[in-house]
Amino acid sequence: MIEVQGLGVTYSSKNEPSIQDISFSIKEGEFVWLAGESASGKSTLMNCICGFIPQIIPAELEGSIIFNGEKNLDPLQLSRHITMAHQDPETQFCTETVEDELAFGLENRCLSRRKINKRIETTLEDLNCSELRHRELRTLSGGEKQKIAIASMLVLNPDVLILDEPTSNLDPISMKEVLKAIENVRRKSHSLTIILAEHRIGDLVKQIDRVIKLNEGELTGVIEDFQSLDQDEKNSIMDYSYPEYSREDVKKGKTILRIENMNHTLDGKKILKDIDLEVEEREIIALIGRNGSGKTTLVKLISGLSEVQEGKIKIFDNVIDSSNKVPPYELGEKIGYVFQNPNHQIFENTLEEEIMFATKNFSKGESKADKWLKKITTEENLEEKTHPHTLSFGQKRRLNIYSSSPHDPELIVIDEPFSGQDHQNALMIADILDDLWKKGKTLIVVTHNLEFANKFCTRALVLKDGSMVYDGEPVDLKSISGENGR
Amino acid sequence: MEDKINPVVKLIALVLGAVMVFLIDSVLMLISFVLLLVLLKVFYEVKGRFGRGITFLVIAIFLAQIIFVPEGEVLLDLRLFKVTLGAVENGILISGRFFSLITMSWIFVGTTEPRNLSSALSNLGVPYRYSFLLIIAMRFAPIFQFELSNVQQAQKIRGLKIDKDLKGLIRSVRYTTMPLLYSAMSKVNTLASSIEGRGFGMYKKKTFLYPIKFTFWDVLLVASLFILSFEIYYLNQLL
Repeated sequence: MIEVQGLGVTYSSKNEPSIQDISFSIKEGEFVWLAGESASGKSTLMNCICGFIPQIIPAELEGSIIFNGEKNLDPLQLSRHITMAHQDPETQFCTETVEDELAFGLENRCLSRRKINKRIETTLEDLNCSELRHRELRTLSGGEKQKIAIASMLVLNPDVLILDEPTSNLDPISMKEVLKAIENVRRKSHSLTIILAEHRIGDLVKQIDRVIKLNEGELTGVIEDFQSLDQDEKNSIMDYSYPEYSREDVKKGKTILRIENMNHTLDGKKILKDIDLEVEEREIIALIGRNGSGKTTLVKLISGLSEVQEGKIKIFDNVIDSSNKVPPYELGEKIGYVFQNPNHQIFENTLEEEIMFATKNFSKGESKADKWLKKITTEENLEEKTHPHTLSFGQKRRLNIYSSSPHDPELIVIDEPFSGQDHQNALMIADILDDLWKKGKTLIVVTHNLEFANKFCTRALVLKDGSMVYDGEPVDLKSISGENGR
Repeated sequence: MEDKINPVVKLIALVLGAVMVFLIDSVLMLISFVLLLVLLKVFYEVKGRFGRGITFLVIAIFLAQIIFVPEGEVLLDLRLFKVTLGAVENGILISGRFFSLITMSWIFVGTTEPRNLSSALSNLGVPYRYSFLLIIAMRFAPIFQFELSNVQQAQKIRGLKIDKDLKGLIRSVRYTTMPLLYSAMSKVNTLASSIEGRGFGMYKKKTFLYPIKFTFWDVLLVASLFILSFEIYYLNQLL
């Protein structure tokens, strides 16, 4: 059905090819797992199969893609047969409601209103989310958004459905929901070809027919009958384990953060309820909970980035409440904060300037920053004058962590460091965080990664609907959250 | 709160209203117009209130007229400057026009579904490629607002202080534009792929799940709006 022959892609902004000499074929009705680390070329390959490269995304293309005997079709021709749900549903959505989003592609195909209504109804039923039909997209949870992103492609009755890391930004429960939805789709239509790029595929492993492995833009292997492998061989492809980090020399110090009776409301909805918390020096805290459970709100309040409405925060020597606000640039001297989106926190034109950014603003000595600069340039094999926006997603994430530290803050808050990262990148981030902790920092890590929390952190806090439902050692988190996590 | 009025009629009303506030030069008439808009805003339960920036601008425009454009009878002598009747009238007119334009736009945006506007415009012959731009703009405005807030927070926590002078403004633009631009660029390809990958532009016309047609009553409403505008203008000349 799909024949890829000698495919190579070089983006106009880069000198080196992103993928080269890729050849494989996919049969009708196969469930294909596209495996590979971040930046291995998975998204580039999928964009080529849909015809988006080079028509929408400019790049030099070598080789060919043959779909049902026809060579290098354009995206409009291919849109009749192939659809692709992207990693970030927020960016994929182009309307404001669930119904409009599902109707969009069908309206473009000039189907009658009766047919459009029928297709929307059936697709939502297939994905067990009929109740979402009249909801506004912005009111959906992370998992619901991803299911609607998939539904908006399935409603077009494609021959091939491509899914680009559909669970990478989701909490474990939402991840399970989405994987279950994909499993349902597969069960209902065996003629549908599915190409899934995902780091962790959970129970979907039972559905996989073919595995295509990429590494640094090259095809490193094709497994034609995945189910014929024995369990050990399968496990070797799906190794997500973390090493044991030594926490024997943990000597906690004085209390640096105390939260008393914190309540917070946003747009009429109570986001945090009666939060009490104490954090001591040198703790490594995993803050866990579903998307929308209040994790980011809590860490933003701690860092002075959101205004306290009810309750009191004592952090270092500052007391913050509704009548006493402390500007974040004052707290920033002692708190390093890493946001979720790497692009939102890169301000300078070179790595050197980016690493020095906070030290300059806080008028701190540059010697420590120099150390961090050497570390990133050596470990990542980069130049001091490299433009930060030319880095890969994983490198940007590590740069964010590196550049939050040179001004020597005592507490570092990291919001979802592993979001969209493959296992190798996640391990590299864990090593940087371990290094920071060994240098005496206290860490608060907002994460969905229960394995990391268990192996790396000294304490776990679990938020559920704004309430703290667990505060203790990071053991047995899977049963506390009621799910098998990532 | 939404209404049943054709969005194109509301768009015409918005344009006519914008022209009218510049034609009205009677203080009494403009105050009446502003009150009418406030009533409409309350009636339609349009969300949003004047933030500090807009309130400051309305007051600044009014005060600038009082201080720098004295004309006519002196009402109050404050030694540094004299408050004149002409300056007060000018202040009310200019700040009132600004207030009216903002309020009218709010009412329009707050009561109009972008998809309905797109559908209504297409029904009048506007190519759907253009009318769809409105939907995209409305869809991404809150996302970029959220991103702007995140970028500003990231600046603050890393110690960036922006002074409220020209130098501060330049620094603010420099450190805000780049992250937002890169974030937007990372979205453009995905959005374009998502739209084209679902057949956008496949045919010259497309179906609208909820078509909005221009009816006889809409024609009547537009005609009434024009007549009302002429009446207001005529009354304004008399006052």
